[in-house]
Amino acid sequence: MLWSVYSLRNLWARRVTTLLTLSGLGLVVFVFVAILMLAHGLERTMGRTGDPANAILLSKGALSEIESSLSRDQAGVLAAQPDVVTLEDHQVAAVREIALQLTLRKQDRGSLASLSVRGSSPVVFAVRPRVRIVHGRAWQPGTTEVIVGSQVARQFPEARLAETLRFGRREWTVVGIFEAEGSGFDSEVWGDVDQMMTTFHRTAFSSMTLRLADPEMLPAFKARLERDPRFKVSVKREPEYYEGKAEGLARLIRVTGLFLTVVFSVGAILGATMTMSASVAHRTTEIGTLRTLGFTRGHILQAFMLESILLGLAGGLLGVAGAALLNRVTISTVNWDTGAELAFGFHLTPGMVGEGVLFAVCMGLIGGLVPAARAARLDIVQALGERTA
Amino acid sequence: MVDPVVHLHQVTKTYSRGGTEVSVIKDLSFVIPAGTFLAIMGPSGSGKSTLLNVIAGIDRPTSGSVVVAGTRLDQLSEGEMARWRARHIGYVFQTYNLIPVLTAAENVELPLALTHLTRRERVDHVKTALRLVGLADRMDHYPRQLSGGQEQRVGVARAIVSDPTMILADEPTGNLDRESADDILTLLARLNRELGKTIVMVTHDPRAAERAQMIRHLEKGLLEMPP
Repeated sequence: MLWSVYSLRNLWARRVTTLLTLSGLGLVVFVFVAILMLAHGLERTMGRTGDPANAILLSKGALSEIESSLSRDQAGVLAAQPDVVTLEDHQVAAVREIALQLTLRKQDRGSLASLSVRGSSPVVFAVRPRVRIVHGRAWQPGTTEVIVGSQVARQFPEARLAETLRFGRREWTVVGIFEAEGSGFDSEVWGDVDQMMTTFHRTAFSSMTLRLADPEMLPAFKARLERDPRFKVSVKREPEYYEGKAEGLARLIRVTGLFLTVVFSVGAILGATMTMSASVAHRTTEIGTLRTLGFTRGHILQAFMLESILLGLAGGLLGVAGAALLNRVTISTVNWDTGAELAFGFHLTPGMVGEGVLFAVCMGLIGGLVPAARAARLDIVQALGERTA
Repeated sequence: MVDPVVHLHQVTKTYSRGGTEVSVIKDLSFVIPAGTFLAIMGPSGSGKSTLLNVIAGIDRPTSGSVVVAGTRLDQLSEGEMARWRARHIGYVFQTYNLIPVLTAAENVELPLALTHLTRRERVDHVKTALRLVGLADRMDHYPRQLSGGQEQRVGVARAIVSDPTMILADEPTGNLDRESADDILTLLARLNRELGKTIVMVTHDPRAAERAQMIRHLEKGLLEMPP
């Protein structure tokens, strides 16, 4: 207890240096946690895209919907699989879709951005029940009406309700805005699949999404379809497919961020070392006094290590507090895996708070090790500055 | 004859300065009986502080044996020596050496952090020690809020709080005005007289030395024995 008081008051006594060191440690933790939050936010957004009860079907060998091609005949047979849910109106919960890329001008900087456009059918709301219209209404089949995700409406002026989008040499009226619980669908434009296929001279679908009666049966369903030579399809659980679509970007964020963190942390550790070294130099007589009173080298080591750990702890809390301010802040960038604009947010988890603080404590610990060892090794008589005669 | 609390036998202390060996204490043998208030006098460089440090177990002799409070110090390890100091030695410094970030009470409590006393017992000990030195009303003051005399009294309270076998004082009045110096000397004499504490004080001030029961002069590392 007395040791903690002693360490804390020593940090406070040199508060200007302490604050500077804290800022350094805090900044590194801020960057570290912010990167984790960003990567996690991205994965979370993509992981929430789609429904675990759904299976997405692509042509064999295709890595994304853009590369995939499923013929109308194939799609018809696939939709008739017994594992698929039959809705109250006797329709099957299977949606045939095409995926396209569209270039639009963003609201804030006026820059051009690529956007995902999905040709779909009204049954999509039964297949993806978490998607709901929050303004306006759904598109009418057979028309050039579209609905846009909430992030699209926020960022693109021409994608607001009642505005008109121009692509494929046609005009598409925005009749509704939908929300998809912060998932990747929020960054998409949806419209009638047949109109889009005609516009873009497509004869095949990009993908099919089926809602399974028993989601547990997906592995068996997948095995059966992928083995069947008639189909030549690959089957994935829908959220897993979308999560995989952000792997590259998430890895890029992590690698860049961790590289920056490592570089910064070297500086912060050196800062902590210098602070603690100055502290040891300033308190040489004090160390000699404590040793004279009977405190061992181990006690001195402990006292200075405790001080640097406290320094790290405070820096960690400062950094995490700063990063927490970013929580829920949304940014929008190009997803390298799809080439389309994707909006996602920083997302803080209790695990990240722990990792950030632990990281800072480790920096304090490493930074304090050499000065603390030097303090513990001091010769008592020399430390006291006693006359040797 | 009272048992000796300090027994030095043929103690020599040599330092190496610029490649030359300098003997600070030369073949010194003497005993200090328990309950004595001894003043060691001598000019600068006579070896008196080194002698005090050897008795306190914070410096080791180059040769010879040092037995203090029944323990042969020159054979102890670093850790054993630290624990021994905590148990047997109360040290009063010339420059008080209080920890600036701790209050008077916390400074006095420091040696008790090495004991197994409970928090309540520690507080009681601290209060008693500070009362004994007349600073019960300054417990929560920081060293910077105390006069030099008061700081040294806190230093004395810290030296006695764990009830050590002996008190060693290195020029305890060296930085004080005459009045404060007298107060400290009176306090040390009282601790010796009333509590029976063995006190070894190094000083170059004859007036301070006069307050001790016994005075020894150290000259060029040799102790001048009484006729």
